[in-house]
Amino acid sequence: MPSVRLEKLRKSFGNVTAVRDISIEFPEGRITSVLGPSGCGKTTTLNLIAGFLDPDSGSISFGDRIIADPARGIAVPSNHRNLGMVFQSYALWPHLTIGENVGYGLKMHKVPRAERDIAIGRALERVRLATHVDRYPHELSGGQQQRVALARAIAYAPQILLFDEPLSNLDAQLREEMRFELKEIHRAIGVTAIYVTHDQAEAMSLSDTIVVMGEGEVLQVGTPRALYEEPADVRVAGFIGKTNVLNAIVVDRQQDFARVTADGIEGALRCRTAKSTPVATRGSLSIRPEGIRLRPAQAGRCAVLGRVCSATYLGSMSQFQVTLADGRTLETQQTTADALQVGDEVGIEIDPERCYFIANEPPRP
Amino acid sequence: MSPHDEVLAAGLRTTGARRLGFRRVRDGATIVMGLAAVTLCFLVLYPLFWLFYGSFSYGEQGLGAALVQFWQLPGLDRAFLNTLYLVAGTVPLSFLIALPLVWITSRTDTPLKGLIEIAALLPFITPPLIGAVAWSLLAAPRTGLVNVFARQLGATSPIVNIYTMGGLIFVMSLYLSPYVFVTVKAVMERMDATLEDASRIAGGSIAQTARNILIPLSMPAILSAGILVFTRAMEEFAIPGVLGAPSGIYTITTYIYYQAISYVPPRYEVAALLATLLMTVTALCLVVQSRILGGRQRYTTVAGKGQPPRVPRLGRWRYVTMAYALLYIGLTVVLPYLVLIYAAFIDTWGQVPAISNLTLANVVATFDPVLTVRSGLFNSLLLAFLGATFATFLTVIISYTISKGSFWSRNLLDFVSSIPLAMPGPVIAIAVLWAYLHPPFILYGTLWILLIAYVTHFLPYGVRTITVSFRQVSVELERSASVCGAGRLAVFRDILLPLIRPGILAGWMLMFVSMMRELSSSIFLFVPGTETVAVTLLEMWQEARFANVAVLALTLIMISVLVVTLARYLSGSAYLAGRY
Repeated sequence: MPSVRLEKLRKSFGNVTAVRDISIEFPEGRITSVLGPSGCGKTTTLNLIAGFLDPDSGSISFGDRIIADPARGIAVPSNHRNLGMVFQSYALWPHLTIGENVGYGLKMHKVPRAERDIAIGRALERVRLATHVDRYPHELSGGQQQRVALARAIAYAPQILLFDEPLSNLDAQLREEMRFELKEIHRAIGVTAIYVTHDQAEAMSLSDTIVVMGEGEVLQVGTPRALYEEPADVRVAGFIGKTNVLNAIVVDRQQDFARVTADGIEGALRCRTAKSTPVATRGSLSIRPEGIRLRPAQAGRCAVLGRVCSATYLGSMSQFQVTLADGRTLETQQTTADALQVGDEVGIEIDPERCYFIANEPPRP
Repeated sequence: MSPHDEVLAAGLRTTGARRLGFRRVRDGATIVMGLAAVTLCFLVLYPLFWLFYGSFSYGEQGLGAALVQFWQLPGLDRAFLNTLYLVAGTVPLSFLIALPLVWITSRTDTPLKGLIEIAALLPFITPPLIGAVAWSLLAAPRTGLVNVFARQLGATSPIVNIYTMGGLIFVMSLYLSPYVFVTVKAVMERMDATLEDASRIAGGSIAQTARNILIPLSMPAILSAGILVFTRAMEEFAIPGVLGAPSGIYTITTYIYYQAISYVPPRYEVAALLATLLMTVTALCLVVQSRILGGRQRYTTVAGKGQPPRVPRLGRWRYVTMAYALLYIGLTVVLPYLVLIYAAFIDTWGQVPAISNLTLANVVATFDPVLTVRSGLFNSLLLAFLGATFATFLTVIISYTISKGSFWSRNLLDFVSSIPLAMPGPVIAIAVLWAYLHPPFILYGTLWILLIAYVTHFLPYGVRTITVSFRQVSVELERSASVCGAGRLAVFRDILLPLIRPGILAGWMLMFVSMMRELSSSIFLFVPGTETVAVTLLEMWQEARFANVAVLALTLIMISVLVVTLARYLSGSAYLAGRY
């Protein structure tokens, strides 16, 4: 299984640059997610890898083989890239049966009839639809259609699998089941997979490595934990889970922790940060909602005070919005159903483990 | 890896050896697309070149002298005036006829609404030639059935005369009103009824709602329908040919035929100049129309799904609206067909039909080899079949290029393939005549010249229909095939072609039926031996062979209906039964 390497890849449409000189290495045999809000360039990147678009500059290689490099005049067409792909719209051919859909790639790869039938059966068994081989796509449910699309993509044993938001047309419960199934199937076939999605839960549960994109650039590459706990960019912090962002400056350093002063909060706060962040760095403080604990104002000696401006009971937890002295609001959530009311004075406790300082200019490693 | 996977992998490695690695290969597909593009450009531009060349070749005399001579042609000023009167009468009258029908079918609870809706489209099925012939059989001053019966009842002078400008406008409006009906109805159906409700709630009466909401919102459609009727009326040949020519009312199209081409010696350059003029006006109309429709974004509220319109209760008035609709159906469908059936089976013209005076002799006589009916039918069937089939092949490739090709090829082919839209039948005929009367391609006097004229004339219909079908196929369906290893040709053959088959069939049928009944260019291009059905029909009508005309007209209608039914049946009922 080859790895997929993008080097300084660039693609513009008119005067809009969708992908800005990005370099990513997708490791072989693993699922790597590409995560980002709509318009971040992730789908363009996938289309470049699939060969539906030609890059303006930069190169794409599968293992040692260069697949696209305009500088050298290389642009291997999609049908010669030996890929499998699962589309958001499933893209099953309505005029072909399930068996014909799944067998099409085998036919195109000149696999003899008898072997083709075996491979079709195996692929459909993988997605538990072997009995549907003679049905037409419109006779299947959305979830089944998506499983057929997956079977079609793996039937001819491509070395690289591309997923373009494959689960976003399914309802929430089905999506979770399919996520699990996808992971199982990947474990069995072990191809290099690139999974594009805007759903962070999907990305976090499917892959060991996530590439977060924004505005045509790679913002951060890392494990789900690293992205959540040590975001390299405010946009990453905002996109992976909810967060409160305050302008801040570092006043003191000690190993993984720093003391910072943040807008709207009196006194210095303890928070985590990258090892290389020096004192006096300007940046943003990201405080996760679950890292803020509200207490009735008179109960303790809290440094920060605020007033509850909205309270929402959500069953397993409650969400609150708290207005600070300077009018800023923080979003919090906590599991204990303390009887806090809108308008209550509260003391705010902030958990240093749940706070992360992000320098404006990310420190160079 | 299982042994099976090993086999697969080995298979994939061997295909890997074939990889070329470059995208824009000069493959078979590119060559075919190029050939089709060249064919299209030749078909359209070569005659166009000759038409312009013909319009500006006057021998020794200069342009000025030629134009002076041109204006002094006897009767030309009358022809221009007549065309103007005809258009000025037809546009308002066809609206007057169609708008109530639109309202009746989309906003009232008139009984038989579904039937009326279908019937309003029936005039589309009747070729204008047959409509005109039927109306002349009904209401010609001396021989028309109405006048014959009136005479038998004691009338001394004709009570109706269809051979007048009024008659022309009347018949033309009847046959053009479906264009208004279809265009305006489509907008009415898509319009969000809550927009009307909002006006009513704000205190507007039904009339005010119509004036302030309905009419402004359907304005682009109304204007566009108006322009369509305008161009159709201007370029129509059969109706003025049948109903105007007997009393000397010529329009530009019939003037070209009777006073330029049939004139001895033929005045080809006059024909070319008039044709160029006609084409210029048509082209201008098309440009204006596309501007109007192009500004559609302002009316996006019309595109929404919204609520279905509320239907006001008309009470007793609904029988009035029903009577109106039935009158329309009577005038456009029932009466013309009744008179054709009468003419086809009656023993002696003018008799009151009874079992004793009905006969099949007319039917037998019509197909007697003495007449050109047999060869006309054969020629038309051959031309329509070959023409529609060839044009379909061509348009499938052209439409593919238009919907998937590069920016330049797309725009070029889109433009060239819509040029014939601005060329009414007579214009195509004059252009083709000039082009294939001269070396190196001398085809005049053969069926080929008719075939070329037909293909050129009806190509845009095919291109429109099939391009829409191609655009409806989601690009992901193609991409998923190409990822599976399918090259461009395989994607086309395995995915696109099967998916757009209904569109291809619709295009073929549209072109076949249009070619089968074609008159306005055939009449200029036929020679003895290459008559078509419509030409034969017109000739027999001029010889006052009413019975034969009626038999042939009914035959033509039946063939059209039969072919459409057969083609739909053969296309595999699965597509139409909604398997997808």
